[in-house]
Amino acid sequence: MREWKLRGFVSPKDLTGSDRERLQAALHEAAKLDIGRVVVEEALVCDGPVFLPGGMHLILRAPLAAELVCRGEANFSLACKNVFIEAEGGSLTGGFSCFNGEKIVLKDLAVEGNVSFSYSRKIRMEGCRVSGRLTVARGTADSILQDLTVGEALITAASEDGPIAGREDTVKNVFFRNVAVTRGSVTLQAADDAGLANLLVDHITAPQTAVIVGDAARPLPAERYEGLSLCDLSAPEPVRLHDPLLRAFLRP
Amino acid sequence: MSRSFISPNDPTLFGSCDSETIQNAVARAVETGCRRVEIPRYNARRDEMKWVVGKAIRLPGDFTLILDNCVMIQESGVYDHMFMNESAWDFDKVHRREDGQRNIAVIGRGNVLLSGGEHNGLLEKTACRMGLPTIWRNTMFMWWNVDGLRVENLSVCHQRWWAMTHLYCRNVVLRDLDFFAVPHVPNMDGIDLRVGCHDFTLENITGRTGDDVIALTALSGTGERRRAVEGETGDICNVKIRNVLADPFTCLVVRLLNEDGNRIHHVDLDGICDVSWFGQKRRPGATLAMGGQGDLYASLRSGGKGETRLVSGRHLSGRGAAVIRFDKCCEDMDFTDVKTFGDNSIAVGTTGLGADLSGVVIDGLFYGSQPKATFAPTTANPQCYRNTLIRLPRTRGELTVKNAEADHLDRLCELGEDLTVRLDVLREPEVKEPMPIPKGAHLYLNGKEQDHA
Repeated sequence: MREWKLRGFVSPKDLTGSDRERLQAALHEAAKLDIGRVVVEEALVCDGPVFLPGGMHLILRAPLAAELVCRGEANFSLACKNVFIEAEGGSLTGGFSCFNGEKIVLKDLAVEGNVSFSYSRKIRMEGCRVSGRLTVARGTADSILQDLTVGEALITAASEDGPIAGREDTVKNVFFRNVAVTRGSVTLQAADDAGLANLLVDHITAPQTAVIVGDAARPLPAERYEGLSLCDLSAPEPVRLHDPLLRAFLRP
Repeated sequence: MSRSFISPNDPTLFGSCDSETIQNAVARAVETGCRRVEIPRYNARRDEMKWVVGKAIRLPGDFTLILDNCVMIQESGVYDHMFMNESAWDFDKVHRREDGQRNIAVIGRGNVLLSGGEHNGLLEKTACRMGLPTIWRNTMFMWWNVDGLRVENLSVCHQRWWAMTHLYCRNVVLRDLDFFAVPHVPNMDGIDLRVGCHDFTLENITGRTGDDVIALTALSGTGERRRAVEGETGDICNVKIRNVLADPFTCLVVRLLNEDGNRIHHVDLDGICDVSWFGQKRRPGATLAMGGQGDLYASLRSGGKGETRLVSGRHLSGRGAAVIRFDKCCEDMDFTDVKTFGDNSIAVGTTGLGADLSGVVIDGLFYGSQPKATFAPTTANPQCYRNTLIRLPRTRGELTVKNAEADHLDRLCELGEDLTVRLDVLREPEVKEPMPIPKGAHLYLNGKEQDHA
């Protein structure tokens, strides 16, 4: 254990069991001993979700096949905090989901799968490649997501998770900048009971439509889309509005 | 055997305290030529997962310090920085550019937390009294005359005064910095750029401070004059600030302040958002504030025309008393996409002393605040806080606003004499109160001059 402390990380290689068991145990030990870092040094294939505790720095130096989950309790004071995931030559196949996270950083990560955040705050996601969908969902706020390549993106006030006691449902104060969308679009979708506010979506490139707002089949009022800034959208159709916007800054 | 870095966990480097141990590691890194120290999470000397810093760690030039997933706490009862460049207190001689340090990097890996710990009682009002030292000792990072500095990926909490202070620094990158301060003492700023700073990039600044989040303050007080660098002006210029999502308590997200003949110019802001909570009892002063108030901050002379100019900004939003606040002389500035939300009162305002505007253009001004019904009656000047799109009493000059849209207004404008405002609105706003236009002021609403009172 002192060796782990001196080395500065726990590796699943140090433990026994299936790949998932070893990775989960490594995370547990790193949290318990306050080492706060797990390094994946060999390819792992995990046959179920892997839960990341708060205060964890996860470094991928080899391919990891797993569904990584950050999950806080349904109370604003019990968020899963300070999780930092980055790749140093490794990659993630599976996906990442975060519910009630706070200070979550994804850096330089290649993800074969989907990434989603709901009721999370202070997310920083930079330099990542997501083959599937990036979802910023209900209750997420105060976040910076930039310099990304994604299959498609969804910023939505709907979520299957939640609510969280003490947290607003509105998606607000999110910077979504310099994103290349390879297959779909960036879709902004409010909900019947919660909206999107103060979002900055700029420098988006997409193959057909850069930004779609709303759903033609479910119209919502302008109050659900307040203070959006949509700028520098590069696509054959820069923006398609199914719902009206309130006090929006549009410079496609 | 050459090593790529030195670790303070090498037992041959252990000193009587963590600061000495780390300083020994720095010295060893210089001796061996690797010029890199990595401070890990585990402190072998203490057998604990933290480092306690009682004496500032002095960094030489051409040096990289990696904070590797570690926690560092300032020791209780001491009056010193956590980090400084080697010559930051070297007052023995006149300083020239070459007397400082070059190329210093302090880079965080993973989750790094730097804490001011327990406050030591040193405040601006107690400094240099009853045996206490100068307040400058309380800044966590002290950088003076550094050319080439990078500070990245750190979380700073409970700073004892300003978290990061820069004087006469240039070519600096500060990014991925998060602050958390409970404002139990005054002046818990995040990042301060003082006189002589230029060519800075600040990006991804988040969190909550107890005073201004980012302050560009070109003031020549006693401390600054003592630290003058020969051949360098006191101007602050060429600063890019991008992606700021922060709560400045009752102060300012970004402040530009210059007096004493120092200028501020060529500042670009891109994405500045006040994230304080709607309904919080106290609210910020402004998202962006420029200029001083009378002679409040001047030591040598008050700032004047031509000294605060060439500021551009995009995507600014706030719920404070104002989103953009102009004071003194502000010239040649353009802002795009300025929004209010929550219980903000005024989109564009000034403090009580007014401003002198020239060449100031705002394109895209969106007012959407919901008044907080209980707020106004408890203030000393409730009339200041009625929802107003542009409130510029005692202000002169000219302001152009294009593409404005507003809801929930009590008043459209309050203008100073000798002020001309050209306001183009996308739709006619509903206002509750008539708007007297003083003699000498002019308001053009969609090109049509409005009648005076």
